[in-house]
Parts: sequence; structure tokens; C-alpha cells
Amino acid sequence: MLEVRGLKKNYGDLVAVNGISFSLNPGDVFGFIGSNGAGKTTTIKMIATLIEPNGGTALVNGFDILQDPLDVRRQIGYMPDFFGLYDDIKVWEYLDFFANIYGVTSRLRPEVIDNVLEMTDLTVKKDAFVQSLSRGMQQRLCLARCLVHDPALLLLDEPASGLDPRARAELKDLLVSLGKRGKIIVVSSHILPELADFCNTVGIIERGNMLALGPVDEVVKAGQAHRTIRIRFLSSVETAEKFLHTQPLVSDLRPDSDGCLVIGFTGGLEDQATLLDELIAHGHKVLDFREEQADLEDLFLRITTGAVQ
Amino acid sequence: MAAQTWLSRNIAVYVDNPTAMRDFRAQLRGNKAIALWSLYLFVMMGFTLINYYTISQSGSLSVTDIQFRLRSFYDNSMYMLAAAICLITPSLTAGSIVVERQRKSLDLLFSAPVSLKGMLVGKMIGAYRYTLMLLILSIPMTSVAVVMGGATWSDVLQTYAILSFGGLVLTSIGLLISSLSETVGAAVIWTYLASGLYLYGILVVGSLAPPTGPSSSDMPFLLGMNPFFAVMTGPSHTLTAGHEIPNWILIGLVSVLICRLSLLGAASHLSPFGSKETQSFRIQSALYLFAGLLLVGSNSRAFYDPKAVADAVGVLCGILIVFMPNILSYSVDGGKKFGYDGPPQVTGTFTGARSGSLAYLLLLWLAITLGVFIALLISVPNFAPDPGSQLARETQLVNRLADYIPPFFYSAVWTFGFLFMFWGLARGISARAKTLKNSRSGLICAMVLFFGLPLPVLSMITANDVYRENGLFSNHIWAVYLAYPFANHLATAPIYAGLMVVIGFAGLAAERERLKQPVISG
Repeated sequence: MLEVRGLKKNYGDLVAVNGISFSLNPGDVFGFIGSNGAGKTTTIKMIATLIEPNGGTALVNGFDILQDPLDVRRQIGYMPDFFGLYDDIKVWEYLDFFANIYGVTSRLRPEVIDNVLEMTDLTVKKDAFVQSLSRGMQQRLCLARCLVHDPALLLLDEPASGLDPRARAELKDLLVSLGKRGKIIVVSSHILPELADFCNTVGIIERGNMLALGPVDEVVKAGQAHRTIRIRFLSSVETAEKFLHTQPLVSDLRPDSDGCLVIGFTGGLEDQATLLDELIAHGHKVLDFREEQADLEDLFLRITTGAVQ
Repeated sequence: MAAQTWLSRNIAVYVDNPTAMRDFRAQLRGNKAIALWSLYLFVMMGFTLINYYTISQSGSLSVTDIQFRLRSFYDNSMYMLAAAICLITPSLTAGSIVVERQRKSLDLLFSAPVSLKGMLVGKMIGAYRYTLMLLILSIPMTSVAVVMGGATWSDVLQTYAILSFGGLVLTSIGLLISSLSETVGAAVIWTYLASGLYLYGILVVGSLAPPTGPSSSDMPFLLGMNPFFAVMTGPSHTLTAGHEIPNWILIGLVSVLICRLSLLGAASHLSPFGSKETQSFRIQSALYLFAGLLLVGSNSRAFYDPKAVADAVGVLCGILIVFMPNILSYSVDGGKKFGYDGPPQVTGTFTGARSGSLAYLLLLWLAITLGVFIALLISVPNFAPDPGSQLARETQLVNRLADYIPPFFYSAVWTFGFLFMFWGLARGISARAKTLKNSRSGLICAMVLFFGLPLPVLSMITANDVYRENGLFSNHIWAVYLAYPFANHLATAPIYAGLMVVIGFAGLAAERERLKQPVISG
């Protein structure tokens, strides 16, 4: 379990992270969303014990990042937004080096290396030099490195950056399978639609403050002030517009470039059905009447200002 | 159970070290390694041939001449080896940390449960293994000298041991500088500068040191810390507490201690505020300084001159200049480690806090002055009495001690003022600097201003002056130089110390003035 309690980080007068808190359980895949400079990497680095917080703390399976940093490190696999690979070293040697650091005994290491290579689909590259791998493969090798000690928590900072669509899809599948194995995964990314696909929890951060936090559906719903309904008419839009203005649950109304009317609607599903009945009853010929589904990207753009530190 | 844990932890650090293993794989892999070793062997071979050609050019020679030439052949071979060690070993570690920092693999290591000790020792093992390879590959060359009769295998082994210790110290200096540097270029340049300074310092201090061995032909072991003197100090001994200890053992011990301090310094720099590495570094640096002075100074031949005692205190405190910017300076961008944390406090002495910098500096000063003074008290009763004197031995000893105390006292007080002045100035400058770099640069500028610049200026002014009988300049303008009474062991040194304390307080006043404005934050 990961429990972040009021983490705070200042650089002089600059507040990088302003007391954020959240907790995650085994199997949670947490999407950490924010613009560049929002405080994602700083937060991840603090959990990874690489940066000392100015306030607050975090507990990983009960180990405090301030009190027991070495125990915390045994629980986590940290993958930064860069590779940090060594030259003149083979894939299996790279993994052997980190497995040794994590205390995997020399007897177990060959088996562990084979397992993580198989999991990340790099078995055929076992004897290749790391600098000869493609970017996608290097990314997978970094993930393999994070897995050599079977950590409970994976901290992945922009793992999909610079990957082609196929490599992204493969990475996504891998993370989903790791989540199913009960690992807690924290992923920061800019590619929001992808995060929405496999994360069950998200947090949106801006200027060090957590703006939204919770399960993806709940966060998206909570972020909506009203439903948005798009209506296409066969008849005149002007008369329909006049009619809709008289409806109490219609909060906002504007025509779009396709000749549709986009309305903000504060009622529920029953009210939507009633509105459609009323429109038809008043002789408006409705071709299309549908509620627009908001997604993470909409929510992100709506609640953030794009301000950076 | 505790012993088992200790053993397994040390095996992990010294035997099954992952960093050393990784470096080993990369070092000995591919054509590059073969080419480098071959080049080294060719250079050594070429030098040996030239060396042999030089000594073999003559007709009939006496046995003594032949012996002398064979010894020269051996000596020259060892000088060549020393040059190879001094040139190659600093570069082995100069880039090791800074490259990891630039490649950002350091973050990967520190997110894993790796101890700083394990990582740094691993890098040292990798570099030392390389040094040993250099020595092993040169065995055919030195064998020629042994076979021809220029040296014995015992000489060779002792010299090799000293050379390898020299390589160990130079690689540890490289590692320390690498941990402090931000770019590879800077790390390499500073490492070679620091190594050069170390070798030169050993040369100067070692040359001034009196022979501490049982016979006057024994070289002081201190000189052997410089690999170029390995061949001379190898067969020598040092008299310590009545025992003749081979120099190579003492050199090995001191090298390991220097190496340990360098690694602790690097670990302290890489670790967060208040780490146990910083505390160990601070405690052990003071302890080694004190113990080292006691060990060396208690030798009856060490303090042959009252001025040598005073100089020892001054020179050792002067060496602290190099570390002062790191110990004293702070800034708003320095974070918890190098940020302002309030007025001076004793509690911060070992944590690395800026508030404890004065206490730590004074602790080092105390370690030096007490170390020298106690060593003096131990060694004075062992002085041989003057056979021509009519006075009793006890009276002679008291008189002798009376000769030593005043210059020692002047020196101790002067260095106190010197350290206090720079502490105060560092606080004043730091309070006004916007970055740590500016703060440190400012302090270095102040050092140059007070002690560097006046030297050439005053030397030019007094270039044609004649010395008075007591060795002082006839032109009194030198009195404006703060180090003048110290350098000449004058009784006015305490007055200058007072003046420097006043300058220190001026720095503190400047800091207080600046702190009234709400700019500094922790």
C-alpha cells in the first residue's frame, strides 16, 4: 500500500509540491497527470527517496520514506523519464548488476533475469549490448530492471514518451498485466486517452496542488458542471433555439459549426428523455440527440490553467 | 548473529561488489582494452630498451660503476612506472561519478537499496584493479633489473606496494573530485590539478621533514606518499615508539586513511543533509588529524626546530583553505544542506549544517594545535642532551621547551584569527550572494584579496631591499601583510590575529544587516 501524506517540496521561494496526499492499494494503476513543471516528477522522486521533502511523508507498505529509505527502495521499482543505461554492457549484465544491488542471490539471478526478459519480451536480446537496442526496447529493458526484485510499487515517470504506437500498446498491455498481478503502479504521462484506458485511479496536479483525485469515472463526472447534449435538427434551428431557451433545465446553448445545437443540461436522464419528447411534440424534427461523453482530456483542459512553476 | 550480518555486509561491499563487477566487465571487454594494454606494454618496452641502451654504452667499467649503473637502470624503470601511475590512475575515477550524474544513472542507483559505501568502494576496487594491472604488466621490465643485479625482489615488491598505494590515493582523489564536479571536463581538470597539488605538497613537506628513521640515510615515510619517491623510501624505516617500522607499511596505512577520508568526503557530498557519512567524515577527519600529528610528532627527530612546530600548525590550518568554501558558504539555493539555518550552534558541528561550521572549523584547529602540542610534550624529553652544556639535563629540557612554546603560541593564535576571519567573511558574503556558486566564488576572491594579491605587489615594492640580520625585510611595508608576522614567527602575531577577528566580526555585521531584510530562507 502507498500512502502519501501532505508531501511538500520547496526550492527557495518556489513551491514545487504543495502538500499533496493520496493513497493506493495493491492492483491500483494510478495515472498522474499534469503539465510540465506541475510537480509530478518531484512527487515521484520524493516517493522514490531521491529528493528529501520539506514537509509530509509517504509510506510504502508501512515503510517511511524519511525514516526507512533503504526499506522503501526494496519495495519500489523506479523508472525515470530517461534511460540511464550503461555503455559496453550487455542486456543480461545490466539486469544482473541491478539484481545484485537489490540483493538477489547469485544462484537465483539467472532465473530472475530470464523471467523479466520474458515478461518484457526481450529474451532474444539477452546477449545484445544495451546501446544497440531500439528506444522501445531500451524502455522495456528499464522496466525489466524495475522488476528484477519483484517490487510492490512501480513508479513510472513518462514511460511512454518517445515510443511509437506499437511500443506504446505493448507497454500498456504490460502495465495492465502487472496491475492484475497486484502491483501498485504510478504512471505519469501526457498522453491522457491512453492513461484513461488502463488506469483505475487518476490525480491531476498543477503548480504542486492536486486538483482532482479518485477513480477515473468519478473524477470525470465530478469535473462536469452539467451534461452536454448535441442536437441535430432537420427543421429550422432558430425556432428550436427559441424553444430551448424557454426550458428551465437548459443552462447554456450555442450552435456549432456542423449546424447542430450544443446545450448544457442540468437535469438527469429522465429529464433528457422528457426534453426530447417535448421537442418532438412541438414539431421540431430531431435527427440526432445525444449526450457527449467527457473524457480525461476534457477534464484536464477544463480544470487546469496551463500555469507552470 | 551481529557478526554474521557484519560479515555478509562486508562481503557484499568488498568481494561481491556489483559496481566493481560491472566495471570489470566493461574494462576488460573488446578491442579497446587490448589496444590500450598493448600500447602501454609497447611504451614500457621502448623505455626499457632506451634505458638499457643508456647504461650499456661504455667500455671497461669498475664493479662499483656497474653496480651504480644497474641501480640507475632499476631506478629509472621505477620512475617511469611512477609517471605511468601518476598520469593514468587519476583519470580512472575522475569521470566515474560525474558521468553517472550526467547519464542520470546515479538516480537509478540511489533509488535502489545501494549503500554509498558499496558504490564508492566498488569504483575504487575497479580503479585499483587497473592500477595493479599496470604494475603486473611491468613485471617483465623490472625483472630485467633484478636479473642483471640492479635490485632485489624485495626492493621491487616494496616499491610496487608503495606505487600501488600511491595509485590508491590518486584514484580516491579522483573519485572525490568527481563527486563534487558537474561536468566531465571540469572533473578531469580539477582531478589532475588536485593530484598535482598533492604530489607537490608531499614533495615540499617531505623535503622539509627531518629523517625519522633509525639512521640519517632513512627517507621520511611522508616522502614516499609521492610515487616518484617510492624507489627511495621503499627500503627505509621509521622509528616509532622505539620500533623500526618499514616505510611501506606506514605509507600503506596512511594511504588507506587518506583514501577512506576521500571516500567519506565523496559520500558526504552525495548524501542528503545530516547523513551518517557526513558525521563520520567530520569526526574521522579531526580524529585522524590529531592521531597522525601525535604519531609523527612524537618521533624525537620530527620537531628539530621550534619554528618547525609553529609552521606545522600554520601549514595544516592553511590547508583548510581548500575546504573552506565547501564548509562555510551558504545560499538561498543551497537547500537544507547548504542553506542558512540560523546563528552558530555547537549542535551542528557534525551534521554539516552551516550553523555548525564555526564549531567544526575550531574543532579541526583544536585537533591540529593539540596534536602538535601534545606530540611536542612527548618528544621533548627524548631529545639528546647537549654534551657541551654545563646545565643539568632537566634544565636543558625546560629551556628547550621554553624555546618552543612562544612560536607555537603565536602560530596557534594567528591561525585561530585566520580561520575566524574567513568564517565571518563567508557569512557576510553568503548572506548577499544569490547562488551557492556566487557565495563560494566570493569567499575565494576574499582569500585571494587578503593573502594572494599582496604577495606579488609587496615583493615588487621591496625587490631591491636588503634583509636585516634576523632575516626580516628592512622595508616595514611588509607589516601590512596579514601573514607576515606568522611567516616570520613574530611576537606581533596575536595582534594580527585580533585584527583578523575584527574583520570576521565585520563580516558577521554585514550578514546581520542583510538578514534584517526577509530574503534568506532555509
